[in-house]
Amino acid sequence: MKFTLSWLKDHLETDASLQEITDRLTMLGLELEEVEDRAAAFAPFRVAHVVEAVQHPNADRLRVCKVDAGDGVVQVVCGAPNARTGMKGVFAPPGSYVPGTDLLLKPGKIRGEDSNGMLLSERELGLSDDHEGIIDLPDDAPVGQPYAAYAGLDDPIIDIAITPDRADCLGVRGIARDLAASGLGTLKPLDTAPVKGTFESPLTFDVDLPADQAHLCPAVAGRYFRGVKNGPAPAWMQERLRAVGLRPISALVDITNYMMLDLGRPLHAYDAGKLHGNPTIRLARAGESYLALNGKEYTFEDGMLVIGDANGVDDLAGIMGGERTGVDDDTTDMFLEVAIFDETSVAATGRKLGVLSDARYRFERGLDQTGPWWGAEVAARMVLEICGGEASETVMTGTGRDWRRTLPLRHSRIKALCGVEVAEAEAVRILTTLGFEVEGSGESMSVMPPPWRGDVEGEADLVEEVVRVHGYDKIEPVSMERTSVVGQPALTAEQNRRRLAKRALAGRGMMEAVTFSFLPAKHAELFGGGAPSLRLVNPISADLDVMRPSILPNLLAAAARNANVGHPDIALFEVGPEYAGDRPEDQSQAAVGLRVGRTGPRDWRKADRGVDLFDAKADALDLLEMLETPVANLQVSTDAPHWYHPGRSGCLRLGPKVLARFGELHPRILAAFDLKGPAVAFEVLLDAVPMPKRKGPQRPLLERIPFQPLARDFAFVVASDIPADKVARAAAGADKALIGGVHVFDEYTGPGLAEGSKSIAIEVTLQPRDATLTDEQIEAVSAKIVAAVEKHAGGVLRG
Amino acid sequence: MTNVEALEAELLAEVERAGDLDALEQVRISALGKKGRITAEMKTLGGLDPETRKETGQALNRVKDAVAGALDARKTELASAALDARLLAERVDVSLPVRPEIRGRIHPITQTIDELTAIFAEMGFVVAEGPDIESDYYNFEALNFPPDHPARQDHDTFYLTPDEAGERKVLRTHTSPVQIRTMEKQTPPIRIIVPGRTFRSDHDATHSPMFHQVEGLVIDKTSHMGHLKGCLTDFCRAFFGIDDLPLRFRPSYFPFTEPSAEVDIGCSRSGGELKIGNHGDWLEILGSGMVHPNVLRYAGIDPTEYQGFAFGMGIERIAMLKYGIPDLRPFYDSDLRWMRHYGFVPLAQPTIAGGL
Repeated sequence: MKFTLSWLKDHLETDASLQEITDRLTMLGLELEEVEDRAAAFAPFRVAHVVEAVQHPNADRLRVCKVDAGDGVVQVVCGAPNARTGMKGVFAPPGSYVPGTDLLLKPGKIRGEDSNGMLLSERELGLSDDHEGIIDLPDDAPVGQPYAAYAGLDDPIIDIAITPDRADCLGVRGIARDLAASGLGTLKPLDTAPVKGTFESPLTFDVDLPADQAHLCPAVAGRYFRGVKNGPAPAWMQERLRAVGLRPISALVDITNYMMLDLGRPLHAYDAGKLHGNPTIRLARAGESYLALNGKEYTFEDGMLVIGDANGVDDLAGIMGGERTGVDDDTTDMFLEVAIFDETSVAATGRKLGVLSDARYRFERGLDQTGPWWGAEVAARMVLEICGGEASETVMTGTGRDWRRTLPLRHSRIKALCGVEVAEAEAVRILTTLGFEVEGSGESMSVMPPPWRGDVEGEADLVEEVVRVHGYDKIEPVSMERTSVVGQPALTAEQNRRRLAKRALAGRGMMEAVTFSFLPAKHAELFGGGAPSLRLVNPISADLDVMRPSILPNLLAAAARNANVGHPDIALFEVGPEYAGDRPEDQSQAAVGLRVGRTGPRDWRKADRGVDLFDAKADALDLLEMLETPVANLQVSTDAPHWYHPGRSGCLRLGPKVLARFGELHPRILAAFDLKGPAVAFEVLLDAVPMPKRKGPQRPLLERIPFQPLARDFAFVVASDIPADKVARAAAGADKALIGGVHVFDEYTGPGLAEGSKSIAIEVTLQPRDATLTDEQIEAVSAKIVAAVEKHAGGVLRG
Repeated sequence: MTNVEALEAELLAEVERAGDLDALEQVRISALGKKGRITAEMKTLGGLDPETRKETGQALNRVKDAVAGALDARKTELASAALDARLLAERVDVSLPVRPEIRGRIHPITQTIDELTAIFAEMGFVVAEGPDIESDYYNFEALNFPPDHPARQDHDTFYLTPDEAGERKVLRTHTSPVQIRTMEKQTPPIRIIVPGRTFRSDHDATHSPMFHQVEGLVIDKTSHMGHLKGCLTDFCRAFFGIDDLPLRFRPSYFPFTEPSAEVDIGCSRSGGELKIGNHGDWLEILGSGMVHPNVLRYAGIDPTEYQGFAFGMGIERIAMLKYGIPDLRPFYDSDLRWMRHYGFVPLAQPTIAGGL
């Protein structure tokens, strides 16, 4: 919301400085965005007399001017067609900055003639787009006077942000009222005295709404003006409109805009001569359309609130008037609309049709409910004064909304809710100055909000009004009371686990990524996602239109981006959400990692190599171990999802439950991401990982066996499709009391072995418990191992 | 006697001359071996008269001991020299690089969440969470946003495809829905923070369609705006590590709080550089207020008995301010150079005891 200081002072009697006013606005909740002080920006520019303007000797389109801006005559070369001897213009001396063209002036020569400064156009000053010629001031403009002061541009422009609840401050008067309540002056009275109509209006607003939709237009005032002259608005009004960024159009249009900005009261002016019969406020029928004042055609849906006449719709109620019935320079009879429309309906229609307007902005936030009554008078006074003619009596349709309500207020609630003491008399003064009516006292005040404060609904709102005006800065900070001397844990076990997972994976040399929850549909589909329920209706771009079924595609895309900037070797992980559906329980947490390229930089010891699936498997296993999963009980199955290499991937299971997947990525996936391999990944499905069944912090007692373990190696020939893990498990099961561990240390196929078989070498650790093992005992357990591997894995001890 | 003395001198000289362990062994054998010269002299003792035999025997034993001692000493000397020579030969170029290791880093968002969690935990808050895909009810309605209210438009909401019943889920535009979800489940007193993902359909240099917020909610019978001020002042000073950091509370509007306040922290912008601290200028960092009675009612809490405050702030924003990270968008790019530069070492888990 923009306004100028002098405009504010039309409503506010105050001695406060600009700084005091803008500081106070912010502390009232009317946050200052910017102050534009054109007097400062225009300081070097003065009214100047063009003593002489003659043709430039070397250029047809240039003139050489002698210019006097009050301190001697200087020569300026000027290209404007209207530069002429004797005129008054605006002079910019060398060294000044020309805002409209972003130019710092320097003395120079133009086609051989000295030029020391510039005569300015409106565009060069940034005042308008007009660059037909230089500014041509009246003869009586005093030479040497600062142009800003002469043109009334020394009025600072204040821009403030208005929160959606403060519709009353979408007019300058409402802002003045807030400042007055805060003690920064007094609110001047507004003349709303009736303007007597001299004839009966030939038109009136018909409201044709179904009974259950009557609330869409609780009141509308109409007033007919005849014999008006719709020339340009007075200069002061044009200046103010321009200052706040509106283009002056004609007196009648400018008056409606001015009243909207001044009093927050949007109006609409119909050319009465273009209306066919009474304008009717009704619901649109699907397919009806109109050409709006912004030059665009809009087609309505059933039930949108519109205004039309016998020739059809020509106004989107509360949003924008139409071309067909709008006023123009030739308008002599005008029919004025001062209405209240339902806020929700205006907002919904505006949103559906995508029409933004200053009127809509105000209607949907809620107007002064008494506006149709006083608005018709204030507007009439302004129209008659500026455009002449005569005004009809006001024709009112509807009785308005019942805005009167009383809200209880207990004085003690101010302190209880805000922790600051505001004396009762001060609270009452604040509310009263803001237009509230207060009855009663102490714990039984009863407060009626003014008709322009539809946002105030209850006691908390009243407390806010009081404390906001009293000053939030007067609230003393109070530290939170500690509920326990020693801080208590803030995280759940699941949250703690995610935190641990991140630091564990980073500790394994991977970079933590945080990527978007959405991704391109084509990526989602590669990972089993892209269901319709997870598609965004309004994505920011087609590349971010589906919720991710997996974190992995985002990591692949990130790896490809890094490869494209010269970093092909990368290890990345993300711990975050994956979405299987749109219900809360469909969101799960996963820890996903990707390794691409080589394990590290080239090494003189040849320690670097390409990543392989066992890197990913190690990541998954290590993470699971950190999360206290019984890793020894995990089983590996070879049914990883289709985005993995079918022969080089696996799942880690605990019973039937898949806790993690790992493997080399499928070449088709790499191709889809334009990524060079090798690339391996793991996905730990955190929500599937069981919580450790530990009660309390105590560990089981350590059993330290005094006898040394001993190791025996075995090599078995098995069918080549037997997993090594099966051999190891068979061996481990041969004598659970004695066998402390089994480790596969070699796999061999080739000469010396039959086709379709392989050799698996294991090291078995024997842990005696009661006494050192005898040779016989060792022989016996060896025999059991050989028998078990033969039985469970079909293995034959290699000779 | 002179024979024995001469023998001794001769043998000791031989020991001294031995240049390596092999030569020394030859000397030992020639002196003390079965056919060695001392051994040979010993054998001659039997032919001597008892008196002479005794004297000569003693002399030979002395010589034997002396030679054996010299041999040992020489052996140690030579072994040490041999070791020195071997080590010299084993010299490698120690300027060669170590085996390559790659370092992981923790993302600044994670680190910042851990930091703010540590601070709020001190103040008795626990961490709550909720789903990213929300119903209109939790994201708006129960937070006192009426349908078609202009405040909804400020939220630039992402919508999911409506289901068969016409219900249209949204990506939560703030972490505030978790206020409702928590209050529905838990009776006061409540002190929670909610760090999490939030989404708005806005994408430019200073906005990302996904970002992170942390919500705070306190519900009990007595907490008022003074506590809100105290809580946020204590937090900001601890988080930024500036003891005299000033905060400014300005009236504002959020549908779910009443009264509402936006909060600025002190800063300076001189020379185009943003610096946090008590420097006279202000920078907005968060929104807050007293929980609206309607919100309490929606969540099934009696507003005549309970009250409290809520706040929400952008995690990227406070991370950028604290760590001097200039741009928002690289947070989500996973660029290796950015992660190396702005990331944190994994063992640097933020703690109050260790300093933040």
